[in-house]
Amino acid sequence: MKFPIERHQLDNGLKVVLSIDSTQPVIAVNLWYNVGSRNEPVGLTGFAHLFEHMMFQGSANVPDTQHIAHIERAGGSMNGSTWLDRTNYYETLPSNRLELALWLESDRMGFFLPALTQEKLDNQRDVVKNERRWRVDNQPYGDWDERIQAMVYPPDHPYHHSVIGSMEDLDAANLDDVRRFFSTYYTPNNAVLTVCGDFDRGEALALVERYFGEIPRGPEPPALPGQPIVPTSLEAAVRETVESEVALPRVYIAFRVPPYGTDGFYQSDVATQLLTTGKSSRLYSSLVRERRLAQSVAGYSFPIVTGAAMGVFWATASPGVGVEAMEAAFWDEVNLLRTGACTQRELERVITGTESRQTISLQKVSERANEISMFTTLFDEPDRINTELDRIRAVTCSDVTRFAEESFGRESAAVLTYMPRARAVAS
Amino acid sequence: MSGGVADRSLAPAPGPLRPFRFPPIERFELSNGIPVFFTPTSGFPIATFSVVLPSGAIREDASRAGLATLTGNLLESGTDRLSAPAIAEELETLGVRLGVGASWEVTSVEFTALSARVGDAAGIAAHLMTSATFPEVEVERLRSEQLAGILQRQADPRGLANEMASRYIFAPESAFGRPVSGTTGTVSGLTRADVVEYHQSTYTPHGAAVIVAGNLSSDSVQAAAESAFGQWQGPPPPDRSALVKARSSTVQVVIIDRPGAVQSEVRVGHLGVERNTPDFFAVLVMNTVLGGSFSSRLNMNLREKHGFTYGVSSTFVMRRQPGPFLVSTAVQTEVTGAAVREISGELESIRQERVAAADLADARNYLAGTFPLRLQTTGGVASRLAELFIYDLPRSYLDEFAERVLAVTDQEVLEAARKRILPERLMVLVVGDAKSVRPQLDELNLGPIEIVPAERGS
Repeated sequence: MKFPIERHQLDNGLKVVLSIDSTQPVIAVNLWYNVGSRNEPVGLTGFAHLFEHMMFQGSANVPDTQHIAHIERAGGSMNGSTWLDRTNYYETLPSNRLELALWLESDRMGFFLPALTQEKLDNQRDVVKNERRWRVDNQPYGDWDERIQAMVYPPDHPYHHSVIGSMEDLDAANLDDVRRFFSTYYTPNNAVLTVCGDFDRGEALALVERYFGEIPRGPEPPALPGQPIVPTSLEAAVRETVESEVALPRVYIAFRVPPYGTDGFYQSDVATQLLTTGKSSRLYSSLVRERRLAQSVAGYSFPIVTGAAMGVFWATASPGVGVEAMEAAFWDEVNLLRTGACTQRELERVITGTESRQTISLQKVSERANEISMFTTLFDEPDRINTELDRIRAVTCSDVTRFAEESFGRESAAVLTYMPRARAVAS
Repeated sequence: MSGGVADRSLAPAPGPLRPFRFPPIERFELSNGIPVFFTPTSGFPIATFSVVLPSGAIREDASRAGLATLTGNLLESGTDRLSAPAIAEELETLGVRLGVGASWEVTSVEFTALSARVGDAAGIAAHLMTSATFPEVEVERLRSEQLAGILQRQADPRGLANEMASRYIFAPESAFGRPVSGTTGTVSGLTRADVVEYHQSTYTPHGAAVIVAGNLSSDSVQAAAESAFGQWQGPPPPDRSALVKARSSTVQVVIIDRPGAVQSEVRVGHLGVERNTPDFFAVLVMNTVLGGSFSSRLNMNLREKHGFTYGVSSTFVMRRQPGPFLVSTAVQTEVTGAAVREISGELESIRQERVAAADLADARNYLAGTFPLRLQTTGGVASRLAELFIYDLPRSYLDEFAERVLAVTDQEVLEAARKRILPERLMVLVVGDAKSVRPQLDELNLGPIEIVPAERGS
């Protein structure tokens, strides 16, 4: 499947990508700002995400909470999200409402500051703190990524702290921080706008120019804080054990891997899938089915670009199983892969599975628009949406073995273990 | 239109709307009488293929709760011809993940695959459904897995709140009151013989349908379905209705104690309505106004005005028989009482006054406009076809959805609120720190408060 891609750039630096698909009368508008938690200095963790919340609290011509209200009453849905490298804003609507989406996005890109108030900041601070409680503090294993990131990346690396941030830093955020952050990062030259779906090309371009053209170019974004450059392998193993309100022990095992977009990253992805994806995967077959040490196993290579990415595995122990035995079995399997056992059939299953999942996912214009924004922001190549699968296909068995040997060793692993709290025995 | 700077002071008006019609649905029958419903789609070379059986977990004895789930999970554990690892390899070679859904009233076996692979995948699905052998070692393994899942659910405040909300809304003899995947007590007693018996009586072609949505020709759909399922024989399934009864007709207030919890998981609700309720569209619109969108009253109140929560929503779970009506949210421990007060206030207020014209229009437009969005995927289309089949809905339902929604009046919404939201029967359940929450709820004077230690699960 090949998606049509057409790219433009406004004078103020805004990159614009169009992808037409008139199959359904729907349209997706997607905006990536090239700012994420990695841009947060010490003392302001969680700020990029808090700021994202503020972007829904109104702009010069749009009252508080009305961004979403406008979209919902137009028969659409809208949301945003913050991650390590980026912040995105997206809406899906009936295709006759493109102008509404462009009006809303341009109003907050260009004219956000007049609507900013202390009350809104205080309100969204409370909302975000509750989000942290809901996702992290009141959830079994909820703080895993916070702990893992701190283990995998040194304290001065932009990925050392979590996206959600700490309660203390959230409390410290003030209006001046908000103004400064907006002026520094929420500029057309730091953004990519993608429109995907049922629209007329000429009309869309004219609307984009009309709504975004007058927003002035901003300053060049500053360099990332701290030290983004790190070796793509942990220098020494690190371990941590946490007792918390969990029913079963779980182990997270993380490695530094080459950044997203590099050959090494795709090798990491394929190796990880071979080990964890589906019931024919190595770790499922061994740990879950045959040896019955684990309830479940999973793995994921984080598609992030700053210095080094992260490959993470996790396995939940079956009741009564010692977590050391499960971890030992994990290393048994990984070492088998490192010393040479990789078959063409397994590789083909990884490729077929990836192709299926991608095709299914890209049916939605919102997914396509987001992928296009991502490829444009990270690599300045929107057409990568049409060639990404080729990079997975290019990975060979010997690539997988060599990669696993170099990168998935115990000596360069961060291992985080959750243990259930010892309880008094109930009568 | 070209050039010029926008006048930003007004929201842009809509352009001309492309009218929406649900795509055509073809119907044919297999040799053994199983109906096939097929909607062709274009663009992507994939299709969703689903077999829906009119029998589900409500058929379980209370003492065997979780049997439907266990049996469904065991479908891939082995057949007379293939071992579990071989099954996994075959499916994954096709790039297919089989989804087995053992819900209350139906059982579904579904996959989405590239079009060229649908025939082979359907063959495997049929083989598993008809010839699964349930090896003892896998029964034992998946039973343990299900038990571990129950432990994990009970350690998760959200999962625990959902489980307990059902338990307190429905009477003990109602199936809907227990978790679909069972309890520690019931699942540990399940045997291979139970699974075999459940499989034989449930996985039968009587009353079943094959549902396909995707980029395929009618001929190839017919061929694939006939080849896989056309010769399937089996007994009629047993009767599928079950007792649905509320646990209480008065207010209940329950705290499931988790000492030190920084947040309370709150569930407020009672017995709701069935899918075929005559006021379906009015209830839908009413619920959207109340708590069915970001702009809803509950969300604007608890999140945007008060900052109590990251999110709150309300829903009427409409099964063939009435499921629960439930408001769900997680709030900071210290504001639990205030949040419950606001929730009660919103439930009262939608029953007292008509919804203003602009707010009503917003809710209707949201529902009508977002309806086609899910039809971008073959899975979304297949779900809609399944909905027609499961609830005996007329074909026109899909084409008329938007019109019916847009025709709902403020009077109908008010009547739906008065009839379907019953404050005197409210269950208020909190999973949280009882030491902090109890005094807060006491102040609301809702009624006697029951406190349950979280350890005492099932």
